[in-house]
Amino acid sequence: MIKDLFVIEWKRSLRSSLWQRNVFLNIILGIFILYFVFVFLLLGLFIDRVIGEALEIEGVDVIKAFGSWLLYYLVVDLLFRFLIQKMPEMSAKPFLLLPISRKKLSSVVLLQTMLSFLNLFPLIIVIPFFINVYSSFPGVSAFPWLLSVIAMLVAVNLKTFLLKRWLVERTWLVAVAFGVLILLGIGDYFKVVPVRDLSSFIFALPIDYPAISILFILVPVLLFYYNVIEMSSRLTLEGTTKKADKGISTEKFEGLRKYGKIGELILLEISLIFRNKRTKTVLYLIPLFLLYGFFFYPNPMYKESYGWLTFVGVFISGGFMMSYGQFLVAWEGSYFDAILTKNINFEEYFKAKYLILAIPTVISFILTTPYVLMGKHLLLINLATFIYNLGVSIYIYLFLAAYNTKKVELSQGHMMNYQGVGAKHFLIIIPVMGLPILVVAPFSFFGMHVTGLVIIAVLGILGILFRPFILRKIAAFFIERKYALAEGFRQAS
Amino acid sequence: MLSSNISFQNDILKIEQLSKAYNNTKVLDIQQLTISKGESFGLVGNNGAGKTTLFRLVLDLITSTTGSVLSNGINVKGSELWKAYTGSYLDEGFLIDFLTPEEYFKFVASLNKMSDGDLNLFYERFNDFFNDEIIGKKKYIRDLSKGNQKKVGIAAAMMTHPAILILDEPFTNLDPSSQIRLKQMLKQEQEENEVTMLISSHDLNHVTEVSKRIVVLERGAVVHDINTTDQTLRDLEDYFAAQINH
Repeated sequence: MIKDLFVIEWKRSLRSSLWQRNVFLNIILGIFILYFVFVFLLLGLFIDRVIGEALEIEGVDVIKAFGSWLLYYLVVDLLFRFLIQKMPEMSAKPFLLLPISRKKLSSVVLLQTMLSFLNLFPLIIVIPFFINVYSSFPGVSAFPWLLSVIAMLVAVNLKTFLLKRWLVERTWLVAVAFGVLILLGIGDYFKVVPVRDLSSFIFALPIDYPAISILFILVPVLLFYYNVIEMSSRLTLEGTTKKADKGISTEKFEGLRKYGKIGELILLEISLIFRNKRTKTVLYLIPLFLLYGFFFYPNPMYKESYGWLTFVGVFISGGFMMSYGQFLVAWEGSYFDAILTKNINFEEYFKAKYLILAIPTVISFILTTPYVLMGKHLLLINLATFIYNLGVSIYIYLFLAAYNTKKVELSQGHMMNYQGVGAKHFLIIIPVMGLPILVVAPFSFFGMHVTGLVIIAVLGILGILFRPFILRKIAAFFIERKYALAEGFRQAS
Repeated sequence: MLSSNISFQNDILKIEQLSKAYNNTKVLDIQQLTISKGESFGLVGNNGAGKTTLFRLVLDLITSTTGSVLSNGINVKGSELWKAYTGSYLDEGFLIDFLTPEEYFKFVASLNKMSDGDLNLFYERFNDFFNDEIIGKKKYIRDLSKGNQKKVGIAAAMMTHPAILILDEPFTNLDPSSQIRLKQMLKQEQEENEVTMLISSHDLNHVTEVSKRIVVLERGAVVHDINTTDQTLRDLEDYFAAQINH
């Protein structure tokens, strides 16, 4: 019977709608996954040498240095899982009416979660590292150490479910936890809070006293049993269906009503963003876009390649546009008929949509002005690309939103969700990103990058000045497209 | 409200040579159909007869294959004028389900420039119909039962006292008391505000009760167009019973 349940789970993942998309998207995703596997594998293969050379240590000390980072890793892992992992109860729902004991069912769905990608990725680092340093372990401590580390990784997986059950979707806690973690990290760096020493001490225990690894292994085992007990007591149809979430009151935005229909439409969009899982996950991505510059700006390799830096600039202030704007109309798929029949005219509709994309862009720009501390030229890049985003990119997104005829299921959250995404969403990057690079790169080649940046800023200013005209054109275009959109949205996805 | 400032033609809705085909199969084909101001128009027909298609064409939600719908003399296609005086509810796609009913009503009211006073009058008018299950519950529309969702949609459509009111199957999913209350309100709208009403229904009883004119659609074509009398209900029942023996 348990075997049957595993077979069903296997079929579920094989037949998941995730694969029923076009080939192009699958290839892109495949490349992404391979890329990550590759990066992690490289990390696993060379991390012992990197640590050894950086700290000028060798042998067992490398292992202990590796261990000093594990606590950080496990906590970050836990936080990420809190955001993206689904509760396993969901997959148990169809079996509730069948004659299987609750305990057995709970155990099976919990075991199934062990096979997720999230659990396999860290192994790609840990196991090559282990093989490399195997000979450095003193005595018989090698396998006890490996088992202890894996036990902790498994424990994080199990702990996630308990946390999620206790904290019930209070996602903001993750932000708080990340904040605390960053503070701890800073404290650790200045040797005020010895987080790394603690971590190193914990993971050195199974090396110094191999028998202690039994305690490590006991942690996931106990968590597993605790999870099974918790879960089987809650395994009812009522418990698995999503409870009505309280959502977020939009009272503090009520003032928008003063601004007539446009204010009303923006207020609606704010409720849309904050009250639906899928749109909320878009918001979580924004900090990543804002921090994107840190990966490239300080790197001396890109110091002179302004074309590339412009690309980064477009990303930084345009992150919201890029992840939200493409679906601007598709987000409203489930109530599109209301938009079409209620007393809304499309010019106002697009004026509101423009502001919805523009306001977060302005905020992103302001938040990222501190990049100026890393160089004045960065402010220039950020400013030029910001204006370009407001005056050019935004219209491209508005325009293309009218082509997006697949409705987005708002209630299905979690990252890596590609429902409603098609190949064109990747192709859009070409005009939005490509044009500024094409403008800036040649000028930069002759050492005149400022001229290039000024040109894209001027393009942006023109776009902003001609806003009423362009929005009217987009509205007229939209009136022609609305039938195709409405038709597409009415079809179940 | 806006609709009161517009002068309406007597033939408020004119349908001419209207047809809709999907993949060369005609699902609707109406030569000529005129609905006059203040008329209550009931549409009946089995599934697939083209009732919803007709309503969608009148609301410019789909494009016609041939012909046009003139609302107050203006082709609805490409026009946005009709939205100011047309209230409609066809299905859940007309509801914004992550809002509370109050927020949704406020949204619609503000789109139509209704004042807070107007909104309060609206709540009074619908108080019985809502039966304490909709207002002040702090629930999103998506968490309401099917019947209550329908009530929200119908109320929002009727909120502005529109000159044209279009409702698809308004009685299904409603409990018996609410059905009776809805019929009362629809009749009241006809008497007091001369609303032009287009209602489709599978329930012959209800639809004959609130409509003065009944049109029967069969495979996209108008097969009967009659003024309601005491005899109508029985005629319709005979007609649909005869369909079974085909």
